[in-house]
Amino acid sequence: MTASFPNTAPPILAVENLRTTFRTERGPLTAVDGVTFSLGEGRALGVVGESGCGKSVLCRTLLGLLPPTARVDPAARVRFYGKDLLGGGASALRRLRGREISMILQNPMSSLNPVMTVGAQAAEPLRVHTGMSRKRAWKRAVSLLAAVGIPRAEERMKQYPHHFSGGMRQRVAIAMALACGPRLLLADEPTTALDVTVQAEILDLLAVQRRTRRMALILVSHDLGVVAGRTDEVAVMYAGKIVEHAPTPALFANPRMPYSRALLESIPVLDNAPHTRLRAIGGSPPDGLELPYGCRFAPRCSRVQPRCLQDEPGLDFEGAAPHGFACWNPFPLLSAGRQGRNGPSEWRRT
Amino acid sequence: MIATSPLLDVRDLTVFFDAGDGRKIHAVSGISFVVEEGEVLGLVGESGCGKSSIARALLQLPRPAAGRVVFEGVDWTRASCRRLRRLRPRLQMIFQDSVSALNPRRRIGDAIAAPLVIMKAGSPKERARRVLKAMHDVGLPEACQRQLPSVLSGGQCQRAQIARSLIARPKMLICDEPVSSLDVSVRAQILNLLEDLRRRYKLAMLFISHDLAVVKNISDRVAVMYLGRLCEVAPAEELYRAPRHPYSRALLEAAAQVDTRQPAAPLSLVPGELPSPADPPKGCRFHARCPVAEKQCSTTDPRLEEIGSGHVVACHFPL
Repeated sequence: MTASFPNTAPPILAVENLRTTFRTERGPLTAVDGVTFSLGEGRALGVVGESGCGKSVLCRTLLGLLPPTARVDPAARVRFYGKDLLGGGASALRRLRGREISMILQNPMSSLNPVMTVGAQAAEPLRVHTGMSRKRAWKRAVSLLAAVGIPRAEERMKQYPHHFSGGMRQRVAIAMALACGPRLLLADEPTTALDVTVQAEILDLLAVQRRTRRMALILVSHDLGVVAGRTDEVAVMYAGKIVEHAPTPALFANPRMPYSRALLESIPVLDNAPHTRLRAIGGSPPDGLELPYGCRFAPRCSRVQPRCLQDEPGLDFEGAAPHGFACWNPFPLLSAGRQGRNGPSEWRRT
Repeated sequence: MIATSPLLDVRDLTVFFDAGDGRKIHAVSGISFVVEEGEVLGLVGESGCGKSSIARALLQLPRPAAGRVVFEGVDWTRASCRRLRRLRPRLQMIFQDSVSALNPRRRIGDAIAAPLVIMKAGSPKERARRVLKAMHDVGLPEACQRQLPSVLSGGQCQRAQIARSLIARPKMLICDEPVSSLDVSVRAQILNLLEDLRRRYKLAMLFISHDLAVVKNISDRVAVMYLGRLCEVAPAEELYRAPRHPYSRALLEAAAQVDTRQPAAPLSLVPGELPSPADPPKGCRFHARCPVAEKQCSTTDPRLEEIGSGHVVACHFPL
C-alpha cells in the first residue's frame, strides 16, 4: 500500500523506510519513523513541519551527521546514485559530503568558524575535496563569493565572520556548500534566522543556483511560504512521518490530509483584514516518546473517526497520482479546473 | 489629566548605546508616536532597527537618553525609581523567548504571582485566587501551578508569561516578538489569545514583530521603522494596501514573496543591508537602498509629515 512519490526524472536519491531513534533517559525517542521518498535529478523537494517533527533529523541522517545516541534502523535503505549511504561507513560518507551532497544550516553564526578568515573557510572544501593548490582554491573562492552576491569579494576574503551581517554569512555558507558542485543540496531552515528582505534574496539566490547547476534541493522549513514558490514537490511531516507528499501547487491548492490543511489555515496571511481570527490547531504535537495509537494527528484532528484512533494510515498514492496522503478521512479531491484557477482561495472559502 | 490625551504619548525618544570605542550607537533617534486607549500599534522593521530598544526605553530599562514617555498623564522619564515601581504594573512587557523569561527554578504559580508580591498587593489568599484567575484567562491548566518551566511546552511558557503580565491588571502590554519563537500551530493559538484578551480587558498594545502578516492580523495602526527612525505610520489596512514610503513598500514586497504561493516580481529595493547604527548615513537614512532616491535625500533628513488622515510618512518623494 505504501508507495513513494512517482518521479519522472531518474531518481538520484532513494530513501526507503528510514527510521531514526535516540536513546534518552526516558526511553527510546523516535524522531524519524518510516520515511520513504525519492528525489529526481534537479528537482526541489520542500519538507515542512513543526519543530520536533523530524525534518532536521531526516537531513542529518542522510548525511550521517547524528550524535552517538542516535540509532538508524538497519532495515532502512538510502541510495544516492545507486550507492548505499547508510551501509558504506564513515569514510564513504566523507567522500560524498561536501562534494556530491552538501548542506546549509539554519544559523550561519554557528556554522562558520569564528577564528578563521572567510576566505580560508570558503577555500577549504576545494582544497579538501578536489586537492586544489592553496592559490587556485583562493582564486576560485573569490569567484564563488562573488557569484553568491558578496560585493568586494577579494577584500572580504581576508575578513572574519563577525565582520559579516547575517545575510552575508549565509551567503558565505551557500558559497561553501556549492564550492565542489554538489548534485544534491540539503538546506535546513536556511532563512529562518534572517530578516524578511534578506530572506527573499537568499531564497532567490538558491533558486538561481539550483537552476543553473541542475542540482537537486531538499529545502527544510517550518514556513510554508518559504517552500511555496520555490519547490517542485512538498512533503509534510508530522511526528516523524510524511503525512502528505504532492506537487507543490496541488498541495497548496488542495491539501487532502487534515494536518496539512490546518497548518495552511493557521498562518496569518497578508490578505487578512486586521483582527481576523486565526484557525488554530488545538493541543500540541506528540513527543516521540509516547506516540498515540493509530493516526498521530488524530487527537488534534477535526475529521477524526473511530478508525483513526486504532489503525495507522500509510502514505497512500491513489493509483498513479502523484499526490499521496496518510489519512482515513481525507478532504475530497477538487476537480482539476477549480484547483488550477483559484488556488488556495477555493478551499479557504469552504 | 485631560480626558482626550492619549494613553501613551512618546515624544522625541532617543536611545544611545556606547560602542566601546568612544562612538555612540544611535539605536533610536528622536521618535514620537501615540497609542490611544485600547488601541494596538504594530511596529515592524528589520532586526537592528531599534524596535526592541523602543520597548525597553518605554519601560525605562534603561532610561532613554532624551525624550518624554507620558503614560496615563505621568512622564515616566522624570519619575523616581520608587515611583516607577508603582507605575510599571500598568504597562507590562511580554518577551520573545518565553522560556528564558521565566525563572527555571521558580514554580509557574509563583512566577505569575511575582508582580503582586512586588506591588505588595493583596493577602496570600487573594493572590492565589488572582493567580488561578489569570491562569484560567490564558488557558493554562491548574495543574501547571506547581510545575517548573522546564516541564511546560513553549506555548505554555508563553501563556504563563502573558498571565504574569496580566495579573497586575495593566492598561497596556508591550509585546516584543511574542510569537516569533513559537511553532506555526501554537503561534495561531497565542495570537488568538492576545486578541481575546485585548477585547475582554480593552488592552492597548505595542506589538513588535518582524513578521508583517502577524502584525497586520492584530494591529489597528502600524509603524514602520528603519535604522532608529520612523518611516511611516498609518492605519493597518491602508499601509498594507498602499504604502507611501519606499521602504514600507520594499518590506511588503519582500513579505509577499515569501507569503504568496507563486514567485513574485523582483524587489524594488537596492540590494544591500541595514547600515551600521554607529554611523548612520546623512540625510534620509534609507537613501542608499532607496530606488527613488534623489540628490536631496542624501543631504536633508525628511520629517514625518501628515499626508492623509492618521497617515504620516517621512519621505521627500512619497509614492
